Amino acid sequence: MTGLPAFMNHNIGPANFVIPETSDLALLGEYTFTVRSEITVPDDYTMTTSTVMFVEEIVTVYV
Amino acid sequence: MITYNIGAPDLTDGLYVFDEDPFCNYPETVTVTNLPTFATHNTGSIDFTIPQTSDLNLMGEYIVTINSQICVPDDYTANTCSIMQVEYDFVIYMEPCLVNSYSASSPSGIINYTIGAATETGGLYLFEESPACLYA
Repeated sequence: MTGLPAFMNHNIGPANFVIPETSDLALLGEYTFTVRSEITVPDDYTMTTSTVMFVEEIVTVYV
Repeated sequence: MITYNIGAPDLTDGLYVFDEDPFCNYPETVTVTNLPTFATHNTGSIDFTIPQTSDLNLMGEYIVTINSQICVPDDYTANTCSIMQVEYDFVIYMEPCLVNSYSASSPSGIINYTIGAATETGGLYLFEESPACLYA
């Protein structure tokens, strides 16, 4: 997770995000952060080398 | 040699044939040792099957020995016989599951929150391998 705003929490188990109730008007605005997930795939049965496959997704938060 | 990619459909391979010269058609006794438990020896079709599996822990190489014996009678009484045998090793390679694509199947996209509102939960994300190899 890159750039997750400090007022948000990442819930790893359910794979989502939480914005706790707040009345802080200073948070008004638009925020973006990046979710990146990687898997490591062995190149062969020896598992001595591998290839990383990844997905990146940009999430926009409007407060 | 048998090569199987984890996650692939059942694989039947490794046909073996032992020849007598000249062909006398003595019954063969075939013994296979060190065959991994995930593989099956098909005595009828004289080959081996690896049923479909997604167990990544099976990755590796497995050396299997196959031995075939015939009992050739020493004379017409058939009271005694001489054993002739052939033995060789072959390898089963359990190769990695092949991932064709890795993508976001549940785009988390946009989260909206209104200040003063109750706690907001959103942005569910889910990433999928195709096929599902379940790499960490």
